[in-house]
Amino acid sequence: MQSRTLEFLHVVSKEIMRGHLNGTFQGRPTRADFSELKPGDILLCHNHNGGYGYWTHAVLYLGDNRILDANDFVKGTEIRRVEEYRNYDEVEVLRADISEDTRKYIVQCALEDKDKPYDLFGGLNDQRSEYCSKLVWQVYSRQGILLCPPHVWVVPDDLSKSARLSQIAHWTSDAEIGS
Amino acid sequence: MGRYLCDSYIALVVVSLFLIGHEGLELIVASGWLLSTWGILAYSRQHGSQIWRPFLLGLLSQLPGMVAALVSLWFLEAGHPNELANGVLELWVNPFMPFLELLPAVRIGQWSAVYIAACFLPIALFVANIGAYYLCRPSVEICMKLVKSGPE
Repeated sequence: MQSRTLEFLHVVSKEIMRGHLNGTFQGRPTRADFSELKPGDILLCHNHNGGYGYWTHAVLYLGDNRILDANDFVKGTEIRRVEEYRNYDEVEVLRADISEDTRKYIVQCALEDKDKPYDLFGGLNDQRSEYCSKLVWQVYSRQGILLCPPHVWVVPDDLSKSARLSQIAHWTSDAEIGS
Repeated sequence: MGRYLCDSYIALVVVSLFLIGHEGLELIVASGWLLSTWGILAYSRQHGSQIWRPFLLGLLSQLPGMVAALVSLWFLEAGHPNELANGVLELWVNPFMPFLELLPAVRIGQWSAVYIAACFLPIALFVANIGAYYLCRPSVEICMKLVKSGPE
């Protein structure tokens, strides 16, 4: 556990010295089409110069064009419009092979996390605070679905490698890559 | 005492990063830091330390957190949230996050209650240390008198 903490802190502190953390949006939105999203889908977002991996953000789709997002120390966990997530250099949609009932429970479970504080240094077993990829991981784990091993930190890259998730769509600021 | 006040909080922040996932231990370590700091302040008063010394050193030891909070709030008011200031503030208050997370998960206006509390935490720690300087010694003396008098 400590070695992963050290490794993670080393990477993040190195990138922070270069001014990189959540990445910098290059200014050209993707032409993402979110009409086919299902509740429980996971959006991974990429901006250049992220400090902790390729994917710089992860959010959960709730349905009705709403996203649950834990990204802001000031505002905590909040609901946002899905259209806002076109403003990344790259967006990918991942979907778990689960029943509609499970999707419904995932969304219900996720809504309980609304307004929880943001804490990047909160452990996975800490239910009182969230950060982006931890929120997604916890919501699925409460339904018995382990998206990735419970490391000290779960980052969006860990979710992108999950064997429980399939890529549904992928957009860059230039074109849709495929679905 | 000055060196302890300034260095020990930075050490506490570093240690708290390695206690991620162990909220119980974080609580114990943070509480231990508070008690030892108050003990040292009470001891310094007993040995003739003037108030200006713990006041100044207490202020200096929490200055990074106060500056981060001020910068964070200033940029928010200007409409351009500053990621670096928010990150430094979050790191600075990390040892006491298990306490802050006991607050209700609500937003006050557009801001999380925990964020508002985090902005005030450096000031609260400074005030608590000054309070300990004045109150700890009399409290200890009262307890010692009660123990010595005992049941008649």
